[in-house]
Amino acid sequence: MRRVAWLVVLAAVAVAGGLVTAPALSQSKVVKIGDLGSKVGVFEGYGKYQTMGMQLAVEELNAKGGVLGHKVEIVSEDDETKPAPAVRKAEKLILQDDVKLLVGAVSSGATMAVMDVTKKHKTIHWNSVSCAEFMRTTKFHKYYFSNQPDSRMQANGLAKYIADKMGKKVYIFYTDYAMGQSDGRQFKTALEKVGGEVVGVAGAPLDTKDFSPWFGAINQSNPDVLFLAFAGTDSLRLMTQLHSFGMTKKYKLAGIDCFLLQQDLPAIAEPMEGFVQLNHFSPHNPDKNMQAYNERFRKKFGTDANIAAGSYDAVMFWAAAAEKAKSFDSDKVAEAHEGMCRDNTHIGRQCIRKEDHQVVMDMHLYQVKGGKNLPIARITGNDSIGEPMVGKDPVEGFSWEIKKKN
Amino acid sequence: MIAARVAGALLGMIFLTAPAAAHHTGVYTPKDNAITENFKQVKFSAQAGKFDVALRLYDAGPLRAEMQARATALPEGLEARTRAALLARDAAEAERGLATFFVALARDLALEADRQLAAGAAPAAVGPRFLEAIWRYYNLADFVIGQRDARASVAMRLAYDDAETLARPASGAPDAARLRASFGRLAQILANVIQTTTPFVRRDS
Repeated sequence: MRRVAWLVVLAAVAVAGGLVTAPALSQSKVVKIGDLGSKVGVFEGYGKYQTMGMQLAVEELNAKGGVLGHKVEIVSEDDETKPAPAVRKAEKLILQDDVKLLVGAVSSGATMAVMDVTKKHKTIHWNSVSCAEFMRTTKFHKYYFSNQPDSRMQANGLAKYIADKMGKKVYIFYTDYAMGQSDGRQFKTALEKVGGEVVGVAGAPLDTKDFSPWFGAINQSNPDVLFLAFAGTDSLRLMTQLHSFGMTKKYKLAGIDCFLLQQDLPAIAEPMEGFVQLNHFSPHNPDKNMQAYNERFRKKFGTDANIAAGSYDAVMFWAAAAEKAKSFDSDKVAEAHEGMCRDNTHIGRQCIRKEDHQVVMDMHLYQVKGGKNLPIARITGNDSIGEPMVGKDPVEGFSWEIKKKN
Repeated sequence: MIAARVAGALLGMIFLTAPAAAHHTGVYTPKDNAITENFKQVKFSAQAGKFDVALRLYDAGPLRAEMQARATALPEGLEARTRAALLARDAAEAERGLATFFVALARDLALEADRQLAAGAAPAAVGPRFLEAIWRYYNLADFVIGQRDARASVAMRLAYDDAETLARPASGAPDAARLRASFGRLAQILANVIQTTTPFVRRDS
């Protein structure tokens, strides 16, 4: 019985301790930061890499004396990729572990739920993976920061490139629930702003297994480009079917970075050949900043980094803001973040916009070649970020109506 | 009006994690049982570099007991090599061993579902129950599987998605024959995953 009790204590220590980095300093003062996300399951590819990015940052910070003389320690928690556990774990990190920074979560639903917690407890909150459009608009609060390009930024950057380089006539095909509707309407709004023409729109209901009934309408509208807003197994299935109907060769294809899990790309390389996406990181990008980051990441973990690279910069921004504020007080640290810039991040220069706490940074457009995302263009941050819309509906007045051009 | 629309959209985004949409995005996670809970404790301890804690949790927990109880259906030496990896402080190798175990558990569940359907069990009861159990285990192994064999990971998720649709038809009862075929496909994919991804010596079975 005593043995069981002892093991229970050990288990609690293991879970509460989470992924605490090995001490690099002999400092007695410690400041804890929280790492929340999908640590097991299909989305582990993001949650695990978020942790690794934070570990790399913490190792570098501690090697230089920590933050305000404190050794930094990470406490990691798995949110099961669901809002309710994410909220519970966020409260545990803040109230029990006393973290001064919370990074996470991975799914937008979980991140938005956690935003209520970080607002309530006035905790600095960085998002480096989720991309819903509401976090810097209707859900925004003063302790929230993001260096993940959201769906509006991705749509703005993609739309300009598509209209300029790929073709003005675009058909939007989306999965007919919140995520697909959100991405589709952001893209339509952005494309029409830059003079592109939406020649057709269709939403496939959830649970669609056979997408071919929509292919006739797509072919009839004769687009230059097919913009696809799907995710998960729907994306895999759709691409396979488009390919078998010859449509991946007939049309140029584009989508946002949530379209496919990065780790799935090698399995569906042939149908995805030529697909254009906007993103902020690829280990195959020869950009010197990305290669420098990837080299450090590889040296520590023996594998390439992925789009969760922003978690590294999130920790670095927070550390710089705390040093600037000379305090861990969340109000002071939040204010110190505003307008702050960092050079030589994985994407070069990043600056935090004061109005909505979104990081302005250049992004790259990638095209799939041989199962790898290879860069084809650079989009400047100011061309994609869009105007600040704190408290406003980002798609107010939106309509799916097709505006035909002659 | 705008607030109501935005609230609706927010609810929609959050609903993304509910089962109906969640399977499509791979977000769905069934509730833990004692085995998966023990697995997470071991995994997180090992990832934190606390291998002494991981080993104690593994030695005394239901995960190892289940591996030992099912040893004849697993690749030979799987449990011993998983333990050896924890002793050697090799978190990645330990995770690979545990992933193989979960794939084997999921395979056996698919075979059992097929057997029960063949014996005349109601597909509306068998289908969802076994699929939930299969995903509980496979979900924990997918990332490790995908890193070694992306095609196998994608094939499994697509086959699972198909089985889900067959088990919960929009109208009427599930078709037992098609559901059996679907479970058979899952079992075959999972058996192939074990064959192609395990570094361990295989046992013929």
